[in-house]
Amino acid sequence: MVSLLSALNMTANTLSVNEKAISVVSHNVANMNTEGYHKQRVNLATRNIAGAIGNNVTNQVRANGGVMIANVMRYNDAFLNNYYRDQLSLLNKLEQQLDGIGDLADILDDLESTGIDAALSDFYEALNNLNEYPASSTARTNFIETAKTLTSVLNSKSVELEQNTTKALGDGESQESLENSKIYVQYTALNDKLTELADVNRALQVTQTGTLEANNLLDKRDLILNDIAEFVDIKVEEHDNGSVNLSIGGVEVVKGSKVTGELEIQTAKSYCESQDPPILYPDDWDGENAVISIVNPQEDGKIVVANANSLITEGTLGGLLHSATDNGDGETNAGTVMNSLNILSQAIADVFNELNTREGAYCINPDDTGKLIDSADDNYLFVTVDENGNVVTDGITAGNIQLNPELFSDDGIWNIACAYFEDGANFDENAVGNAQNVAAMLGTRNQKLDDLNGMSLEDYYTALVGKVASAGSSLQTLYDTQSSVVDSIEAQIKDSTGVDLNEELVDLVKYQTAYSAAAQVFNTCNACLDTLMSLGG
Amino acid sequence: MVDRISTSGRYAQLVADMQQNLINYNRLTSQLASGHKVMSITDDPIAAVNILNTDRQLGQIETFSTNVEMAMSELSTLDDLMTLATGYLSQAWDKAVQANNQTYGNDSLEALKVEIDEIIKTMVDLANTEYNDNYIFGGANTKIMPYTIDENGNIIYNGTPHDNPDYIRQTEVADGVFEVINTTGDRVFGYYEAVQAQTADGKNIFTDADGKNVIETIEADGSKTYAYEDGTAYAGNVEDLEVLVDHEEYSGVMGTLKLLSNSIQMVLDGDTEAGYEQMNATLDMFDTSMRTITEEQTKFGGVYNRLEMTTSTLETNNMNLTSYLTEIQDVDLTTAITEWMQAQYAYQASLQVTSASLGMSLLNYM
Repeated sequence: MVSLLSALNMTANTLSVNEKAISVVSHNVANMNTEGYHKQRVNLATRNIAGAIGNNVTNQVRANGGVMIANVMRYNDAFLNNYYRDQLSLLNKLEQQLDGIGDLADILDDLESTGIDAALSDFYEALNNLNEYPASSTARTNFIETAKTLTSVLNSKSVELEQNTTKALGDGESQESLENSKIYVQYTALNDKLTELADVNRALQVTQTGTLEANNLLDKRDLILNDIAEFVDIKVEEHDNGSVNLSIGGVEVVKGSKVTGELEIQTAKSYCESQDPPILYPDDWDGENAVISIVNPQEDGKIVVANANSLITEGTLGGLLHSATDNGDGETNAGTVMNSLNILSQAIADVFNELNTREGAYCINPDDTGKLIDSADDNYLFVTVDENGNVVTDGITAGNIQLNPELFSDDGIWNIACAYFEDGANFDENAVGNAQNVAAMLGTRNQKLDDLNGMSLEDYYTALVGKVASAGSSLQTLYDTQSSVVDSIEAQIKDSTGVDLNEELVDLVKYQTAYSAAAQVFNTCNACLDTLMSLGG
Repeated sequence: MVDRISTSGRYAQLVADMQQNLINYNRLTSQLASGHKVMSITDDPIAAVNILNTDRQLGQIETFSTNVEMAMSELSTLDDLMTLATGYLSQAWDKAVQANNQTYGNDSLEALKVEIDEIIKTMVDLANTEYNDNYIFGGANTKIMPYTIDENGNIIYNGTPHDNPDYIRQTEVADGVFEVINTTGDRVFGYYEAVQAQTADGKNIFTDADGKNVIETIEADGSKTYAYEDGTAYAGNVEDLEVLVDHEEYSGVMGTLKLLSNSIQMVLDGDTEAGYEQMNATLDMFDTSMRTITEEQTKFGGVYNRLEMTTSTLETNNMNLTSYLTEIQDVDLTTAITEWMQAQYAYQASLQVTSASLGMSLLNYM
């Protein structure tokens, strides 16, 4: 009698356990396509009723309590998760860098003969023409026009490069350009994620581990951590209850349920001004256009790290910070390309200004175009205009190089010094056909210049293109490799923790069968009890 | 944990594989469509740099070829002109030999002098030839007429003299190689100038109809006054004054012809002995002048030959570089199409496999 009733009890319990198991299967099936969902499995255990004494079989039977749910296990691999996040940070950094260098490659792409290289070739072509016809106004005008094209191309490439940096980090001065930059969006999103993580931590601290709720919270936590890893490289320290502490570059930014380090961003200029003593911007500043700092909101925004740029080495933020500025680490980026173009521009100006103004160089007298006249000391070809509006030949960059405005005046074309007499005694003012200075200018095509590391103008540019191309190509390889590493870890995680439909269907049938069987046992017990009740009736 | 594959993992893998095949297929398609192997400089840095360098060299070769062509055509003109000059010079030589026979009467001599003077004018025209808006024989003075004949019959050279090394005009025919393509008028044609006698303080001396010396003084306002050596003013017509020749400076063709013409004039004027003596002397000068022209012709003939050789070198280089450029830049159609077909099959296969296996699960059999 006792065992019949207990069997009845047991079946009722079995029905309930299988119901719950089916509901977990249902949860799994429902979430089979949910991003970041980890499959959960019901672990069943035998229920044992205490009080079985001795080797009395009856007592031992009494100890059989049926089945119970031991726990609901969440498929997980903490090692893989951490590894995945590390590699993800690196991948995102590479992606930003590749993006940046891809833009650079587009800017310097001269394969269709539309860039600086073509402009330089045209320039030398015009010089060649001038060598044939030094006294012809057409040849001179043509030379000035191609020289103007050269400066315009340099200017526009410089603008494109600047935009490239501005797009990533802002221009370093205006708050507006910072707010429109890629990094601004990224840093805002990252701060949101930090808050979300702290919230999940709080929920995890009050939830029982091993429960369904805790499992779902852990899924959410891992998703947030993955998101954060895309922005920046992180260190995660996990507690028993599943909550985590998070640090960026050794600085703890989330501690349990509290955000202890919030990111703040400012323009390089405002950062420099806020320092004590202030840094002179832009002259003494060799860092990035945007500066990220870490402050602690728990302590009224106390600054933890004033300039955290160097702490952020990977992830999207790391890629953005370090792929736009020449910070001397030898990586090819918009900043180094810009520097090289500036050096090239100054070299172009120096070489041709020197020849046009040197002792023994002669222009054509604008008042009598059949006569030569000594080339003035300030008869420069390439110049820039300083802040006071003066024409100067120092501090020429790709962005500001321009032709001497004098060349565009009415008699400007005669300012090109085509003639040259090495020996002043040979000077003949009628020798307007003397093109020896032009020949010297043509000679610069092969001239190795000290300012350009012993390369000629065109070689220096080609080397720059080659450098960008190699950097782009090797970054592409790195990115492809990294991408397949990340893909393969992701596939591993997906495979080891995701929902397999076949598995679930088998489970479903398993639990259904158990449920039906338990129901059958119930019926049988019930029938037995009925029989018992009707005895003697 | 390779022993477990999840449904979502399998889906992701299928999509990734399709994507990979599509990327490959797309890359080959755009290579074929554009005909270029290297689409962006990062595709192949070494090829990209080579393309840039080769493009530049081809551009230079084109420039050099144009330069060489132009130089050759100018040199032909130069050569033609010098051949013409030699022709006129031998004509004049014939006349000189005839005149030296001393058998001609005054009428014939006069006719001969007219002919010689005509030849001088022709020579001057020849020496003043313009090519491409430049005076060929002016040295670096390309914009002023190299020869002028002044009212006293002097044949004056206005170009850059040959002993000034800066007379040259040159053209670039190979990287850093410049070829001189001009000579000077004074080298080929020479000049003639009867230098006027001057007083110790640099005033020009003329003679009047009676052969007395008249000195020209230029006043502060630029006007000229004429007076005899004793200070009395010259009262006659200024046009009647004749230049008192101190000495003659001359060289080359122009000098020879002018001296010949002058010597005939001397004979006509009655100064027979000195005239014939000078006439005889010009015969040697003809020789020298002719030789000078021939020397110049030979020199530029050499340049011309060099340029011809340069042309063929440039053509060979051009062909080599062009084929090299094609090699590194353009797709090899046979290989590209084969690869493209393979990629297409691979892509199709991945599509088929994905579509067939996507719906496979135990669900289908329950």
